Amino acid sequence: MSLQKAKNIHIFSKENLLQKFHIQSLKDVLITVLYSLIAIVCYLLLSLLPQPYTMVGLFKFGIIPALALIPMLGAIRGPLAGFATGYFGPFFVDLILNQTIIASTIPYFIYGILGFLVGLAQYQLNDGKSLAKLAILSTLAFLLSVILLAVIALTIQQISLLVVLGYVILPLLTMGIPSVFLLTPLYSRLWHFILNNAYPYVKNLLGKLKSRTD
Amino acid sequence: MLKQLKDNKFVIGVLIVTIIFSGITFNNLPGAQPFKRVQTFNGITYDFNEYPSLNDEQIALFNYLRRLITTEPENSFANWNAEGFTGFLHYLFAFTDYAFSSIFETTPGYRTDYYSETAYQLIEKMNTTIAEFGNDSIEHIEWGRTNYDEYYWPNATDPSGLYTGGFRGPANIMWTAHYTLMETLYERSFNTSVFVDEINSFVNDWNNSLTTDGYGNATVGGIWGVGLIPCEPYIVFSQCNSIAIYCTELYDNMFGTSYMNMWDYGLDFINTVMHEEYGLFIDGYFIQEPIGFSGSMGSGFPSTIPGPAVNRFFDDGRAAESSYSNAWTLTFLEYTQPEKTAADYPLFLEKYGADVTGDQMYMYNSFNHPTFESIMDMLGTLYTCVLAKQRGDFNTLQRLRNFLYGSYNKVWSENRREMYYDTSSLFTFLQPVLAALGIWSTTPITVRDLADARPAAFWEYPFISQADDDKIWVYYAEYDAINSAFLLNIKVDQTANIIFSNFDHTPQSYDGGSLTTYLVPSGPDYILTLQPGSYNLVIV
Repeated sequence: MSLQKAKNIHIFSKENLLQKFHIQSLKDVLITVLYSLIAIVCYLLLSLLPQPYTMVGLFKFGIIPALALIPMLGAIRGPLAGFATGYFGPFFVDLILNQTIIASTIPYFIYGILGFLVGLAQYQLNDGKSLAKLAILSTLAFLLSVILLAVIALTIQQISLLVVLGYVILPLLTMGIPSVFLLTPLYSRLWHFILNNAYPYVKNLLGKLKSRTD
Repeated sequence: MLKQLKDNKFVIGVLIVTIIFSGITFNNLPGAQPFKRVQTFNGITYDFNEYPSLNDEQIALFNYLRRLITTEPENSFANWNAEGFTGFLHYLFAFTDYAFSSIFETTPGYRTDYYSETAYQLIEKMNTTIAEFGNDSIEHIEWGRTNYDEYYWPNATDPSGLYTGGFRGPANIMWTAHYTLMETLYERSFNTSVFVDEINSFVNDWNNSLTTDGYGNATVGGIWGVGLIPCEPYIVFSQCNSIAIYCTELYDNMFGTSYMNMWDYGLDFINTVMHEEYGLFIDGYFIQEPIGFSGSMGSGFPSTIPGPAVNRFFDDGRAAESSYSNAWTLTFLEYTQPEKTAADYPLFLEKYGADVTGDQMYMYNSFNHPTFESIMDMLGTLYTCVLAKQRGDFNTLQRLRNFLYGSYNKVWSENRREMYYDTSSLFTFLQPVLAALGIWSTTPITVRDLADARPAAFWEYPFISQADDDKIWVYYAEYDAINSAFLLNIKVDQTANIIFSNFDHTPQSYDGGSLTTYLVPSGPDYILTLQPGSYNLVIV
């Protein structure tokens, strides 16, 4: 949909919301679910990898490759897909890899909000400026998530302030921000490339092979 | 091409920054794992994947600790950066020794001076007394400011009573238990007999304290009436006594004695009196009026004696409890009462465990006062790692280790033979602590495993008695008595000689099922020379 056309639709209209959430038809719903499932599986697989880091004094720097999948899917497939990836990605990682569920799943809900918020805006994934916007919005949404996670850790989880600062907030800021700022536009561009170039090419190739066989 | 670069300049820029940023954060990835393969020889299959083994990190951590121990005299403690933490030094030496013992048991056929001398010097360091070394001694550093030499029973200040004072005396189980266990584990690992007389004297002293009134008259509950031995010396702790109980189990297994009966009353006292409302252990029980210095950890003075130590953070008289005390006691008593440890472990995690994130957790020091304020709050997490490994709860172990180790860089020496965690941003003293725990919490041998003695025939098996230790990494070394084969998983950095003792014929070395070499006789021993590389050898 062009930007002009998008502006003509009232922001809170049912049509606009359905479009924004990518659930205007059964096919759209299925694609949204499929994309979310792919992202959740990718989140799980990336979480299996060792997470490299380096400490500089009290600050932990590194990349969390799985984290950027959450805003990426929000950008690609809208708020619902972003929320589903943010909620179920960390949920299944903790359930399967760490065999625990934290604070009645509330932290996963907050990661879901990260994907949801990023998905509210629209992006042109082949445009550098739009990808820069995506990087900035992902970072801002992530900062909000970190604040919410800290509040949850201090209130519901009742972890001491020292631990929340040293083991939750600081590492999330110094590892999470580089991850979402750098990797979200990269993943999104890669996804866009696969969908618009690689996938049609492979589909075309398979079609040719099939016709030759026939 | 140029247009594509121009169109994608943001993505390319971000990609370059990501590669550079990622590149500088690759310090702390897991270390290399040893090479393992399956080989069949003479119709017998040797699967090196199934044998316990060490890895590079564990050996490098040992090498780091070995340097701390062996590069200073026994009466120097400068290498340990313990300023402000000197009260923990003897614990650090003891627990480091227990960690080492788990290494020695993983490679029981590798018994060169490299291991035995390190353990021996650690024991010497533990036993530095004022009489021999003055102020440069563990006795002075840890007990010099107390009035340990003035204690009597039943009235602490009445010299007409039974004398119970002294650093190596009957009421300092917090040192005598650890020291005796270090010696006993040394004999278990190396069978030298150098410590046997001293071990005998301490075990007999415990027997006297636990079964008589101290003057040789049989008394139920022993001198202090609780069947346990105090330290400080007016308080009994389940954790300190658990070391002596465990040591007695090992002693009985090694020497065919039956001293364990002396602990029956005390074990019952720990299990029925020294516990709180949930059935977990309390942190101390006063049996005598303290005089002078009171150094008990987190424990307050009760209104009635005898009675449980009270929690200092409350004025309602509730008993002091701690995660470190419980984790330590449950670990060391599991050999003696496995059902209790198995039953208490989930409850212990529930009461003391604190989830930080999905992949990190720590243990509150006290569930009544759940904070994280000091190094005391680290202790429970440290000991729970060892307990979790012993319970086979590797998920909890990993989450605890993520919390403990995730904030520090690994620092490897230039030749990659030493490694430690750089904790200078918090306390440098944590470096040897985390190094020892890094070994103890990850080796395939548990505390429970080490309570069993080696069979008498073990000492006749072929073993590596000398080697160019600085050039090799021994991951697994053990004589397979059933198949009469010595199994050796080893990496060699530089050409190295390895000398085997106890072979009654010229052995041959096989790798991958093929004969690689005959060992060269040297007196009663045989020399194997290996070029740089990784080997899974079957030596027959």
